[in-house]
Amino acid sequence: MKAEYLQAIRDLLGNYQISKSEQDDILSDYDGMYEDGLAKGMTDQDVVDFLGMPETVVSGLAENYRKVEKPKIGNKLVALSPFVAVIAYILMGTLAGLWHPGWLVFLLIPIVAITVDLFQKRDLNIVIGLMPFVSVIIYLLVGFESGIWHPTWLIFFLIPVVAICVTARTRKVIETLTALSPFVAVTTFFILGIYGLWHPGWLVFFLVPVIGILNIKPLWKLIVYELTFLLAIGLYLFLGYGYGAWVYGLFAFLIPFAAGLLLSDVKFAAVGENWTERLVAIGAVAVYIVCGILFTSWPYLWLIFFLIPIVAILRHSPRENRLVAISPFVAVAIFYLLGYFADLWAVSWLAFLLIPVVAILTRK
Amino acid sequence: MNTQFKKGIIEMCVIHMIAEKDMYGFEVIDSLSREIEVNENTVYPLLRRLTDQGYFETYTEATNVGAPRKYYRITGKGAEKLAEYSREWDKFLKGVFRILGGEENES
Repeated sequence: MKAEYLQAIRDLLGNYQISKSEQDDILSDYDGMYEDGLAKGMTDQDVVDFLGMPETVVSGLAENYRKVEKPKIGNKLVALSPFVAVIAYILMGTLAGLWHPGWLVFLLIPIVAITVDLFQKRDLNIVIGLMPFVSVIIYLLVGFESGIWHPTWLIFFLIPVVAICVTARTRKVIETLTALSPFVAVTTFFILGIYGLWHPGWLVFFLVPVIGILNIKPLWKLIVYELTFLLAIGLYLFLGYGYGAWVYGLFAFLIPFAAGLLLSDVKFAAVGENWTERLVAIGAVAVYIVCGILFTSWPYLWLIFFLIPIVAILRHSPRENRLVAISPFVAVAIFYLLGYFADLWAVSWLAFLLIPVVAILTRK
Repeated sequence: MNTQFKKGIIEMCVIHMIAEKDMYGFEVIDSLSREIEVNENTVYPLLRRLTDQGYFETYTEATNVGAPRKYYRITGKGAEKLAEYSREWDKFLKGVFRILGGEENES
């Protein structure tokens, strides 16, 4: 991890007119400070947090240096792209009647600008900026061509997944897997749903704690938790499939909970210590499972889990940031509910425009 | 707090800390961030700048954790700068106390 961290700094320093010997001196200093952090008992992640991400480190160092001049061809491409897009759009429309979905060609304008920026700055983080456009294009093309809007919308997970992968170099493998696990779980859940396996497909959400537990030390504790989760899931399925006792089977999940209590990792907090969030989380899980079993509401009631981050944002975020922070959850909920209940997948994606609109309106 | 104002104070603190005793980079960042709310990744560039400006000089010393460690030591120019900062700071604080009606006002 140290090697990747130092390499990232070296790559970014390459964007500035800093002599080779000075770059080596800076890297040697960061190498030393990294080692000092580890010697103090910090983890790699702690050290990176302490010293700063490579991007912020270099931006702080580079204040007094000029950027390396890049070939200007990229800027010309950016300037030309709107004209090329208009010409391509008119040609596709008049010659082939492809006004729709030919308008997607306009998305090439930001894509060209971001790609050129990526090559000029040699900063992989810019790939993250490309993903919203790439996702929209894939989503709309697949949707218009095949009508399979759902579950094609899962392609939007590319945005956070790529962001996690691009920044993975500063994290441990297990931490990256933990961050990816919710997206893998939701995607798997919907794929199982296509085959009518909403229940017990929802069990795939246990992937999140099962992978998250891999971060726990010591090893014996990790093994105990993993075994209790596997035992609970196995028992639940056994009781459900064997005796039709799905509701009673839910009690099996008290096993990992009890293990947490015994090992003092699960504690009953006093009222006031994030009690509202805990209550909302427990309530959301309970409503999701009970309503799922009673009304087979698995395909849409998962949206109730958005209440957990929303409540946390409402309670802890500064007032002026709340609307912006909540808008992605509201947008996804509108998008999915319109798509699922009214089959409006082709237009409901416009709900995502709510996010920048709210950000602009609330900006002071 | 105004960013430029805070930068100046942090610069003075760093010079003062190294005038007290020679320190290595991690130690400076660690000690400073324990006392003042400071963005850690701004301290190292500050150390480099102050070294470039001749306020510090560096030397390496062997350690038992790996590569030799780089230490920062105050120079004569650095000591003069610290004295100048101390005078300005003292004058500034006296002025603030006079305005706010603190202890300095009573003397």
